[in-house]
Amino acid sequence: MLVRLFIAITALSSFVFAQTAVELNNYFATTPTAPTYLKKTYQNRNFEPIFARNGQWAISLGDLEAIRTAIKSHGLSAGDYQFQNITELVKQNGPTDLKTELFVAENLLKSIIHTVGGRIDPRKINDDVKYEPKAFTQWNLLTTVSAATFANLYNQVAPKNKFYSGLRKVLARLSDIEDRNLWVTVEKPTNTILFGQSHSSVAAIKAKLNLLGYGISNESPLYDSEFDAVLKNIQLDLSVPFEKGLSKDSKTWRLINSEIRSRVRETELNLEKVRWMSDVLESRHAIANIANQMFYVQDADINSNDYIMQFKAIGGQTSRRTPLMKDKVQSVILNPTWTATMNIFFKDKLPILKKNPGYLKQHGYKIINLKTDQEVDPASIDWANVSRNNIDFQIVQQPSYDNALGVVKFPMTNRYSIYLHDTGDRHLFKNNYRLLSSGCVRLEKPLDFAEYLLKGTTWTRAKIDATVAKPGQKIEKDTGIRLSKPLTIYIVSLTVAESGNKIQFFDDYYGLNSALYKKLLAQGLLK
Amino acid sequence: MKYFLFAISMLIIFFFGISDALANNLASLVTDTVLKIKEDDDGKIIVLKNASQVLYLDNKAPNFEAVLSVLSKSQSQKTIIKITTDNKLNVLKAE
Repeated sequence: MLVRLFIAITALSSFVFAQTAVELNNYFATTPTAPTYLKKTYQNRNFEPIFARNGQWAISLGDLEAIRTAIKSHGLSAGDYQFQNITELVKQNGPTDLKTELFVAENLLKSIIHTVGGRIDPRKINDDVKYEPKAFTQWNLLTTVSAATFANLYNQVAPKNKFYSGLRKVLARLSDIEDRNLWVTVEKPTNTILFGQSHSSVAAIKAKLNLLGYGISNESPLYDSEFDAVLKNIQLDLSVPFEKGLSKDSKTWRLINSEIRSRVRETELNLEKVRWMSDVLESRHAIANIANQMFYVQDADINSNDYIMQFKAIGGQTSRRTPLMKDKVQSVILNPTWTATMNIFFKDKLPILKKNPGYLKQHGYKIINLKTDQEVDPASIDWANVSRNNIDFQIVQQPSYDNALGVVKFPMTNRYSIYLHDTGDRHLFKNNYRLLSSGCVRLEKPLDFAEYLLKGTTWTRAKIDATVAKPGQKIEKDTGIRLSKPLTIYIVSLTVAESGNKIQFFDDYYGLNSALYKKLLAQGLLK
Repeated sequence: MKYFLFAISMLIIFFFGISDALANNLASLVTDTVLKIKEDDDGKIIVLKNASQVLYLDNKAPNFEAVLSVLSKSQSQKTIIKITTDNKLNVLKAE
């Protein structure tokens, strides 16, 4: 009798289960409008349900809480995935059917895909972002996942690069500060607080900066040398000139007294930006961060823990922004020429030439006919009547130490004519604010970078140094060297970083955080 | 009557300017072979075999890749193509 009963129960339960799988199969066979990711997930698992089986929920409130925590820890908003409605349904514990399975799956699987590639196509944010949308490829992880193990998926699929893991740590720390209400508003002083003065606000500021990991040894009200050094570091991060004292209207003060919620949000937006980069960064790569105008080179074969070099960079002005993208350097050009672009020619050079045709000779330019590539005599040109409609030449600055591109150029493959290079205006690296170029990225130590790229070739550092133009020296021809191993370059604008235990904030001069935030809101996200 | 219409037209142009659509109507057609395609920060400079002026293909042109492909083909195969430009010599179409 018992055996018969067992067989009957087993048969009934497998019938109910089989019916659910059959229903799922039928649903996708007859619903061409079903989201592709949903269809692909169920196809890969032979239409086996994840969240509801045999007419009952397979997911518990505990599983849901773990999923909610995971979503939050990756900088996403549970509200974007109908989390409250799902929780309510599971709480009610009513009978489940195909619809309930699909409702939960559609939302939670979407959150998994967003964890990998972000919530929107980056190219739709604005013209500055050229990163391609990232396709979800980790379908194999979805074949065996159950409701109980679903929360683990977020860490499994998430990007594995150090920027992502660093930002997640920052997010956890800032969220903790927010949850525990530790980020107090500091009373604004009426006057600038100067070195050597004591002020109650200084103690409160020191305490806040220690929450960000600045490790200030005393939280006394005295504006001492240690506090001054910390403020100078913050001013460097924010790309503002060093200040004398701490004034209430400075960017430094605005950082100290900014809302913790906005810093949490900023970190979430930065996680979104890191999702545009490769999940696992190449073992050799370089990063140009426009937000702090710094350049970093990583080579795991030389040092797996830290950058092998990092130095200052100059990025595009806010009116001529450097596009954010992934690209690669394939060659090095020593003693490059520089051709003035049409915009620069008409905007900057032509007004000078109308007044002083001798400018070209003084600065080492030649005029080259666009059709014949032959040099043209400057005296043969009627500068007053040159216009966009009749120009048939370009002005090309010959190789020299003072060339606009300096003595070395690193071409890339993008169609926007964006590349890395040295500069004739080397003094600009002294500035804390370095968004000064016409879009290309200028490097503070281009010869160190060239030496690294050319390592293993006949181009030793001594040979490079001997070849590049010295001050006052004129060089006849450039020298191009093809790299056997191209180097991947990421141009990013990350405004939050973790450096040791310290959380750093950089200014968002291109307004990308705000553009991204508005785009996400416009898509009905960030609930 | 015609003076009245002329005055109204002038007033409209004075207050609203010439719209992009109208500017594009001032587009011209060039029939030529592409001699060279030069790099520029904002796109490409198109040097033609016969025409004296150069044309510009902006990076931000919505059909940039397709137009560049036609222009490159004309350059490599030395074929004559028709290029539509706006009044600022920006390439709009190539066929």
